[in-house]
Amino acid sequence: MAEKKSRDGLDRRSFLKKAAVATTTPALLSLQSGAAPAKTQQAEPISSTPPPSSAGAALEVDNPADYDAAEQSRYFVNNPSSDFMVDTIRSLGIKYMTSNPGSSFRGLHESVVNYGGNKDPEFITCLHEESAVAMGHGYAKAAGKPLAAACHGTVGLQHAAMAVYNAWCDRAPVIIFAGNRIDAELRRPGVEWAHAVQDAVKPLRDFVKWDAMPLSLQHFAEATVRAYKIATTPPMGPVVIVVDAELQEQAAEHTAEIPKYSATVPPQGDENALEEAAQWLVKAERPLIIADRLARTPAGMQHLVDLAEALQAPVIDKLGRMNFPTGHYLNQSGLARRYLREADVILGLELTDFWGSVARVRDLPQREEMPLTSPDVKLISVGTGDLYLKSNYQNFQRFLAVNLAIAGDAEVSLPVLTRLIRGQLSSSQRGKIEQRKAVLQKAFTDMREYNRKSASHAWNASPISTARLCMELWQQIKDHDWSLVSDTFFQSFWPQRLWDFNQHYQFMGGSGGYGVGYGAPAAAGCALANRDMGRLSVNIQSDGDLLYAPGILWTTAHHEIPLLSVIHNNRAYHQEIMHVQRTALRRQRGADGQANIGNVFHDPEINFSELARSMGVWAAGPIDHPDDLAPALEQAVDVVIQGAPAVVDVISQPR
Amino acid sequence: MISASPEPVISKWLLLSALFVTPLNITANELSDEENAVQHGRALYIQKGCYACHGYEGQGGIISGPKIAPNPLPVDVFIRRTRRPVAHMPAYSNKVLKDEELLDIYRYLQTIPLPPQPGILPE
Repeated sequence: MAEKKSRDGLDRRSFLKKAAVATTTPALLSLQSGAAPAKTQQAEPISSTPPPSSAGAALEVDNPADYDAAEQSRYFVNNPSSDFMVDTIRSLGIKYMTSNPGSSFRGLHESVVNYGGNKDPEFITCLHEESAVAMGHGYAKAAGKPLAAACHGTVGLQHAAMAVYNAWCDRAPVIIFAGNRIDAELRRPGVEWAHAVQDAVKPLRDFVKWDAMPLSLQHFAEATVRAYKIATTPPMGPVVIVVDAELQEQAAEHTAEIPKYSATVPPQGDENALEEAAQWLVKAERPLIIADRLARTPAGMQHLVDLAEALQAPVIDKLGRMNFPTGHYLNQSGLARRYLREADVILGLELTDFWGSVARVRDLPQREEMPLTSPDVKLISVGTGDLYLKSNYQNFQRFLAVNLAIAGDAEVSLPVLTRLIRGQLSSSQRGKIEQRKAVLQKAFTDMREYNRKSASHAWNASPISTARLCMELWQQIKDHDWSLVSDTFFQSFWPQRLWDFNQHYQFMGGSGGYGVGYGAPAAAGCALANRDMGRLSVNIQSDGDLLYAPGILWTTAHHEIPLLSVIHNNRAYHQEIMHVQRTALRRQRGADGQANIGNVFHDPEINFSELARSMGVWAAGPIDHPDDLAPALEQAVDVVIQGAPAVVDVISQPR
Repeated sequence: MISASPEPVISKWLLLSALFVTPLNITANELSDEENAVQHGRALYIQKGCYACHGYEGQGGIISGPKIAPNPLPVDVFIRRTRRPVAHMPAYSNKVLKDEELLDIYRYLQTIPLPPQPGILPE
């Protein structure tokens, strides 16, 4: 992607350099209220804060002389506490605050834009709280660090709840600040009561990793740094800090210090247990590796390649993250059934659902269970899933009695496991393992050819096939530094089956909680992170998902977030059509299109390109002939490379 | 030629569905019996929801249902698997899909042309 000037006139290199300085803020900042600031601060102002102009400084510090003390107290607040809150947030290197505004955090909002100069964090205007948190969810996976999302404590958090649940299920960190007005005596009648709550996080506590309600600035600083630390320690998750409106708005009256943040080193699996796992894997005739939310960083991907090559073991990528290159011959995800059936040892890495990886339940009236493995297969799990669970929501999936369960972060455990395996291999075992290579290479080549052949079916169809959509898109992006920021389930995984993914940032996984409405804002969050890294963000956008909160298109236009969204427009909640039809057929009725009632977007049809244009986004379509697709996509890519969002509406086949 | 539906909403859906694939711009009396059967089969393919899992051209989907065209299974196997499916597919009994309707769907699937060679796909 071509370098482009940023909005403040810096090129990307300069911008990154500047950003690096900003994120090396002194970790220990102090704040002294009123007229007696700490000496260290007098000598050396907080370096992360842009110094105000002299006029601005005068206005901030000195009230006009014609106000007496009582009037000053009545009208003005000097040194507002929320300024310190901004310093705290900034000390953590948080670059963005996504938010739909709300009066319960107006103090913090004002400090972000005025005291902080709307930079680090920069306020990102969202048109729905669900969009704000889902942006944070996507951003965290693309940037490798969280942003902050600010919500009204009652109505805002309730709007945000679904996105919080997705982030929880997907083990993604989002730092949520929720405003609240805790002291009843200080509330105005009416809305402030309706928007105040005793326990703001209660509706979400089943699916946040931690929350706090600090009552002082010191408490706020410690809670925020702790929250960041908890959110980013595997298994990661969203956290909430409730910020009292009075605390935000009153003058800081006490000294407070921001604790130094140091990342918690993720736990490595026990070395004795890893040694045992290595023994099993070395002795296995047909080992199989299954990975889900394994690769938190690019290193995780390389660690898995090293392990798979050491064993010459096929890898099934469950696509919770970008775990394994699709062009590597050991990526045999399309042949999962075969390898599950044949495997004598299966290593599961950060699997969300090990049970569901080795068995299935058919959606028949009797719900038949069907094992996919041999009965004597040995199962090893490595992951953080056992380390933190909650009971109410059932996203932890069915219990599986594995033979060896190793609690620890798989990404940090893999290099140890690979070293132990290499250390145990005799020369004869090395030779035996090497013999698997040619067989696996052949299977891989055949699988990829089968995929291409499958993609050719309905190639010229209208509505456009999802395979054609994906391949026309691939043709336009493959020579750029691209990043696919959407899931691929509803497109039959065509991108993984046909494209060449070889970088960690080229795929982000899915929603986690299967909550529709994640896709569009999460893609925007990923694109926000990718913008800072100069990558071309590509989103294959389900139509129904976008309709939950389409205002995210405006957010991408307003904040100049380059994002190509190709609408997979099948004019339906298609999964639900299949469900209702299945149910109707069990009851031997209603097989004449009734399943469409309640599930399709016909009459009137929705024009996504007009919707996008109305929000300032370049758009093409609706396109229903496959030959018209390439020119539209080519134009759209050009728009995105110039730094703007673009939408191409494609009338598509269901799956 | 499309079967009449007793429910107005279904008639509307059938019309929209037919437009979604290819306009039916020929009248029934211009067609041979076989062509009529194929057209009827195509309409039924959508009306009965076959397209939902198998795609408008029977191409299938890795998460929804297998490819059923071109070159559909032998007709007896096709009928058996529709009436008594082996995996996730719901059973279409004769109550919701008559034998003659199923055969018309089969005739439609037989007309779906072979795809282009995979070589035309971009690398």
